[in-house]
Amino acid sequence: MALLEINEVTKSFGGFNALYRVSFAVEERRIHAVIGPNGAGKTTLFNCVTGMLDNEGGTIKFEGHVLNGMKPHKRTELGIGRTFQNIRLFGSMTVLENVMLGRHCRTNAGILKSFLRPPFCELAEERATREAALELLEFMELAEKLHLRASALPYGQQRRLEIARALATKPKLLLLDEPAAGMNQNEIIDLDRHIKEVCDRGITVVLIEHHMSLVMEISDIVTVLNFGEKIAEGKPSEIRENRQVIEAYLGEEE
Amino acid sequence: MFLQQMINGLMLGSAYSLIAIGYTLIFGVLSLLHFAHGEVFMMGAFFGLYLVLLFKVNVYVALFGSMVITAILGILVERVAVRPISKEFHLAPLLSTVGVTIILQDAATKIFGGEQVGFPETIKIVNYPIGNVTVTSVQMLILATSLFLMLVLHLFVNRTRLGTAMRAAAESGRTASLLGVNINGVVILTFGVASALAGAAGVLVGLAFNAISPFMGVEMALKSFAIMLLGGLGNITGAMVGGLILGIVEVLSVAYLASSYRDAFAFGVMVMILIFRPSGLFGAKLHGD
Repeated sequence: MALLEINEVTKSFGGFNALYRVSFAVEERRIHAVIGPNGAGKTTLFNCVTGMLDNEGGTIKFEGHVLNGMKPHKRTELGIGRTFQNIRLFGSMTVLENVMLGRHCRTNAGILKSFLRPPFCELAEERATREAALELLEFMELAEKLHLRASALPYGQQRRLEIARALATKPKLLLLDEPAAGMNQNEIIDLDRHIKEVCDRGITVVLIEHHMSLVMEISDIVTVLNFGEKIAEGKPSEIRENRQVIEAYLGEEE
Repeated sequence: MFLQQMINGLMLGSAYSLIAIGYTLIFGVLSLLHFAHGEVFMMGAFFGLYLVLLFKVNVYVALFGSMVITAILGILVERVAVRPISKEFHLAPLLSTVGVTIILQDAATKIFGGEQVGFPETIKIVNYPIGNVTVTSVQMLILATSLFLMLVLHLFVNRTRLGTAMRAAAESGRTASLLGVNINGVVILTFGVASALAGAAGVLVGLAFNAISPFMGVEMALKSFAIMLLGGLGNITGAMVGGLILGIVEVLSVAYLASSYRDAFAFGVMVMILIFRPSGLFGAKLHGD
C-alpha cells in the first residue's frame, strides 16, 4: 500500500479546474517530485492534501485513512507535515519557539497543568519538547540562532527553519512547497543534502520545485502536472526525455 | 497628596487592564471586537456578590468562584453567538456580540434587579498609613490580585505550550492549524481566560466602588476598547500599560481639575497619544515579548 494515494482528485475555482481527476501514489521512503509550469495546480494539490482546501471530487488516502473533510490539525496528527511557498513563520516568535510549536500535536500538557505548575519550573514534557526542538535546529544548522526572532533570519535560513518546524510535528510525509525558491547555488546544494538526510530518517518527501537540476538530482520519481492534469510520471531520466513534458515547458528555461 | 492619587489611579487602572487584556486576547485570536465583554465583567461582579450573599463565602472564594463561572459564561457565549456565525462577513459576528450585550443586560436586570447594589462589609476596611499615604485593605487586594493575575497570564502566554499555541493562532490561524494546533480549542481557551479575567475585574471593581448594576459594563467596555487601541491592537503588554495610564489620568484629572470632565480628560489624553502613535503605544507588532 502506498503512503499517500491521490485518486481522481478534482478542485475548481469558479469554473476553472485547478486540478482535474489527478491520480498518483506516493510510495514510502521516496523523494517524489511534483513539477509543472506555473498555474499547473501543484500548490492546490498540497492544499487539498493538508486540508487547507477541500477537494470536490475524488479521494485522498493517507496510510489507508480517507482524508476528505478532515480538519488540518487532525491530518497533522496523522503525520502530514508541510512547508510553504511563501514563508509562513511566526515572525514575532523566536526560532526555538517556532520549532517548539511544531511539537504541539505530539504533547498534551493541558490548561490545569499549565496554570498549576510552579512558576519558573519546566514540566518534564516541556524539557523533552525543548530538547527535541534543539536537536532539529542542530540538524538544520540553525542551533546558534535559537533566540533570534524568526523574522530576523536571512531568507535561506527562514526556509530551513520552516523545514525544522515541519519536522517537529513528527511527520511520516513531508510536503515541501518550492523549498529552493529564492536560494542561491550554495544554499541549494545544502538544501539538496538536507532533503536527502530527511529521507534517510525514514520520512517520505513530496517536493514541488522549479529548479530542475535539484529535482533531477534528488527525486526517485517525478509527477508532471499541466493545467490541472497529470501529463506524465516516471523516473527523472524518463521525464527528461518525455515529449509532452518538453512541450509543456517550451518557452521556459530547461 | 500626589502619591496618594497615583496609588488610587494605579488601583483603578489595574482593573481596567484586566478587562482590556481580555478584549485584546479575543481580538488577537479571532480579530473580533467582543462587544459583550463588558457585560461578562458585569456578570462577574454579580456572581461574586451573590456568592457572598447566598453562601457567606469570604472574598477570596468569591473572587475565584466568580472567575470560574464567568469563564464558563464566556465559553458559552463563544459557542452560541460566535462560532456558528460565518467569519466571512466581518460585521456578522460583531453584531451577534452586540446582541449578547443586550441579552445579558436584560437578563441581569430581570434576575438581579436594576438597582445599584454593593458588597456587604465582607472585608473590614483597614487603613495602612505608609508615610503620608494611606492604603486601604481593599486597594491592596485589588492591586495585588490584578498584578498577580497579569503575571500569571504573562507566564502562561509566553512560557507554556498552550500559550505558545495561542500566540501562533493570533499570528496566523491557518498556519497554526497546519502545524497541528486545534484552532477551535484555542478559541475556547481564549474566551475562557479572557472572561475569567473580566470576572475578577468585576468583583474587584464591585468591592472598590460598591456600585454593582446591570449597566456597569457599558462604560467599561468602551474604555477597555479604547485602552486596547491605546496599547496597540492585540498587544497584551500594551493593554496592561494602557489600562494603568487611563486609570491614573482619570484619578489625577478628578483630583486637580474638574471631576465632571473626568472622561473627557482621559479620552483627550488617549486621542493625543494616538495622534502621535497611530498604531498605539506598543506599535503594530501583534504581541508583547
